[in-house]
Amino acid sequence: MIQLPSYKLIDWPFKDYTYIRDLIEFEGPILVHYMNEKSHALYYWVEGDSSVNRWLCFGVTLSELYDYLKQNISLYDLISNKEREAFYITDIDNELKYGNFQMLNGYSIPEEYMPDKDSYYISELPDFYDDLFRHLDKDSYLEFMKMREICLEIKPHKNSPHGDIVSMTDSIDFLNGINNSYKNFVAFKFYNTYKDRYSDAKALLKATNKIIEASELRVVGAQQHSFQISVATDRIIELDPQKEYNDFSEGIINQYHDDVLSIDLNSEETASLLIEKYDDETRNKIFQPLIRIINNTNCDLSIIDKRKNKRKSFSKINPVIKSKILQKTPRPQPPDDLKKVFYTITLELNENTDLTTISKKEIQQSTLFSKVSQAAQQEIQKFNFDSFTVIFKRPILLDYVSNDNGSFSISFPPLNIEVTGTARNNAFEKVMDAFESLIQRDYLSKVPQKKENKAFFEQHVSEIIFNQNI
Amino acid sequence: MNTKKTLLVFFLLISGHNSNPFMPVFKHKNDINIHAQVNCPPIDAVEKEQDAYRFVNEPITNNDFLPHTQLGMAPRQTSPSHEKCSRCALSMFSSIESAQKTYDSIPKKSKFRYTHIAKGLIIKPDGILHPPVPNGHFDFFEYDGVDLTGKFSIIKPLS
Repeated sequence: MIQLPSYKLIDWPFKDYTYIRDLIEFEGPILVHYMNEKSHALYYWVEGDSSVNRWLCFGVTLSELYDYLKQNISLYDLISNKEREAFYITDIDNELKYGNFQMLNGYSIPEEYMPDKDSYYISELPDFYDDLFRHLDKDSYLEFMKMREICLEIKPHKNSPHGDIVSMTDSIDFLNGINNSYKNFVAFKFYNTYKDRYSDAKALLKATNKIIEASELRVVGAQQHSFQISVATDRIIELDPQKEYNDFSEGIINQYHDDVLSIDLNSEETASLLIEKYDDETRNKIFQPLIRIINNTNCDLSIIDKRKNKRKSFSKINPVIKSKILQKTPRPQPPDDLKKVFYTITLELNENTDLTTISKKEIQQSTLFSKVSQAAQQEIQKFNFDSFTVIFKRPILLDYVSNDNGSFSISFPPLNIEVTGTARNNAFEKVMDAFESLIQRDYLSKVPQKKENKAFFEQHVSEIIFNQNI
Repeated sequence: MNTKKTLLVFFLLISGHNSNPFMPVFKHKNDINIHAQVNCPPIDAVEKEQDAYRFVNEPITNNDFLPHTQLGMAPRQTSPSHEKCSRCALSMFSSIESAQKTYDSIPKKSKFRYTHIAKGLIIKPDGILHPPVPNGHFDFFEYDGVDLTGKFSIIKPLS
């Protein structure tokens, strides 16, 4: 028998536990489930000789047991995740006598005692376990949910005057965005998984709505300042008594993590893959809310893997790639002469040159350098609306993007304005409408809907001149 | 006449599972008699055709078809509830996936002496198995005179 870095024990900690069943068998039991009124333990056979067999025994929560038996984690994972917990050793002889009690720390378990990493539970679960898991108590329920949580965090941008404290508006936007993105992902996945089972579109829609409701994200943890939440989905036993969709609902949050949150949204290759994988509407419904959160200039989004103590921060999405991900299906490509790009030309001229009268020859002679791009910025000093004119203290910058399908996108991130138009003028009109609406709602109104917008206008607006004719 | 009938009925009643005195006996009956005795094999064990997967060595020999009682190892048990009968049977699997996954779950030190997975077709004259509808691991009680080495072929090494 292997010599272990362990502590001798006088008594056996699981002596009041009752045998339940063998979970793995080969020439006798390999893994055995024990429990008492409140707790569970597993006995794992690790080695034996002609006189004794050695068992590695450890406590498990109901949710850990559930995750193992439902093949969410392997036996290797189950043991490894407990490296900071106590394990117990006993040698049992031919007469069923327990002896040589030892305790060792999880991180001291020798590699020879570990199963393979792929040691997933394989057999069908007897009904006993369905009943057992159905009656998870409140504490175990939360623990069960936390086993499958995704942890997300938004943190105010480093220049924020509010330190680590996130505004209510940004928090609400964040929660709504994640929830909407996730629900649309669930709908897409469910449709693709089950569409062949339904001949009736109405029944499929009803089932889809049921699964969306049942798979809704639940907040299982939260942290004050720099708004951090952990979300998970529940089992849907009550809504799905036949467990028809059990496997689907249990794996969907992991799929969302892998297919949506873990991908590099700033990659051209990813954008192309997303276009291939999802139709326009679905792609927009899933990724637009998420990109909106990521590109919020007030906050930075991260996803945290608590078990591995790792964090992934989301970089703001490049406007060109964002437009690609969120674009509608390109209509037949416009002829080349209708595709628009931006030329930025730097001219060296005398200070008082009248640009309206400058000749083509003078432009050619005075050009220092030029740049071609699908993106450009326009300075705006004032907007003239029907009822008023707004003048800014310093010019604000609008981001222009010329899309491959001939459309134009204009954005102004400080106010979360993003519009797309079939032509530049059309897009610009939409931007003006957006500004007019926000100024009226958040700057001129006595009760602004978004205080951040009001603060922006107070900081940047020089004056508002109302049209006297109104 | 009546006495003979009575004796025959009594014999059928006391011979347990082998209700027909002309049925084959089990190859490892001595182990059953010593270690299990009662309700072994289980009353609902059945004869049937069944694909079976077993851990073996290469080449396959009779040593690959010994029950646990003949391996020189202490019986593996943690509770009186543990079935001693299983030790007198051969552990087999109804699918290669369940065989592989069980092997993955065995601790590294104790992955036995087996190196490969073999597949065979068990038929009714070979013995009885339990549970009657296997879904993964099952116990196989071989009849006397059966040679399983010729019925199994290696299909893959154990990873």
